[in-house]
Amino acid sequence: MDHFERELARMMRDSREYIPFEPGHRTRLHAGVRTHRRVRAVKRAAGSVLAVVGIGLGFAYFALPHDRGDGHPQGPFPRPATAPASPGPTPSPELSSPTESPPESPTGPSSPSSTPTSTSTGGRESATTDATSTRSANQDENGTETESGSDPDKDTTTEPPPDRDTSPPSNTPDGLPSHTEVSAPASEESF
Amino acid sequence: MGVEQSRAEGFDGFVAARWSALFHLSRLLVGGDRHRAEDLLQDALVKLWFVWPRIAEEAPEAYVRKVLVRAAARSARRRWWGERPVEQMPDLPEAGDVSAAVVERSRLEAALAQLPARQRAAVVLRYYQDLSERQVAEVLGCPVGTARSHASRGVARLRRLLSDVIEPVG
Repeated sequence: MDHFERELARMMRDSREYIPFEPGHRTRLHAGVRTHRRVRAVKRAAGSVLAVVGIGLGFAYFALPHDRGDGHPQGPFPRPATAPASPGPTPSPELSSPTESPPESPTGPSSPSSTPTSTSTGGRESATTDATSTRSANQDENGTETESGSDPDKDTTTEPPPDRDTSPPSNTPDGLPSHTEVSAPASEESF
Repeated sequence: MGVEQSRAEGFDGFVAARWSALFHLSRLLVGGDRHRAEDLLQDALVKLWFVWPRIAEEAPEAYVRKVLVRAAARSARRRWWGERPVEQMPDLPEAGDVSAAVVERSRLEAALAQLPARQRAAVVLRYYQDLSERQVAEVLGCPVGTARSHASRGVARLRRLLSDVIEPVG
């Protein structure tokens, strides 16, 4: 530290003047503390509001795709289709209902109460329509389990005849009306 | 209420005891502007109030010093501090102000005001606060070499500015 630096340090110390901490300083300081506290509270409130809005937007973001899936016909289509496809090991309730409906159908028209699609048609064909719909989406596994038809699409028209052999007088005289009835409930079920 | 009361008492005691020294430090850091120095010190003390329970037993003055230095560097970058022109000067010079000490102080503050904020802070911390280079670097938040460079450049410039006040010793 040379002479100039020593003199500089001395000037800095000597230039200090005593200034007491007056009541005006105190009140201003306390006012500053209160203002700062208020600003902090406002910031915290705004942050919490933003957090709530963000959480709400997050819920909306995750909820919207489900709604969209319900709206689209293809969205839920694969899910119920795979359900009957799994033969035995998946005991989910949705899966068992279509497989149970075919045994109910031979009993007669009491089956419409079991499946919602059966209301449009008779109990017998409603069971077949469910089977065809699932079979069209899935593949061979359905046929092995439920009914004899192993082909995906065309067997839907061919399947009814063997069933009709068991109960000919029930419904459809021709193959074409049965085919149209098959397609309609399948679309209804998809929605 | 008791905790808050003791906190307020401790804080007020510290501020009352160190107000003058901290105000002078703040004034040197801003280059002599009394009002800016007081604003800076008030802001630093408000920040100190909120950390007082943690800092009170340790080093509250070091905390205020660091806040002051950084706030002074920030405020030096601002172009306007909310000052407005008035019809009359609020502080008129008094008769007793024309003394050698005041002249010397005014020259010093005018010279400090011409330094960049970080050089000024390095010089003030090094020569007024007697901090080591490492401590100056820590307060400035920069490497030691940078703090040393700031201080030496600031002193070199002050040497030129104050050459007529501080006579070199032959």
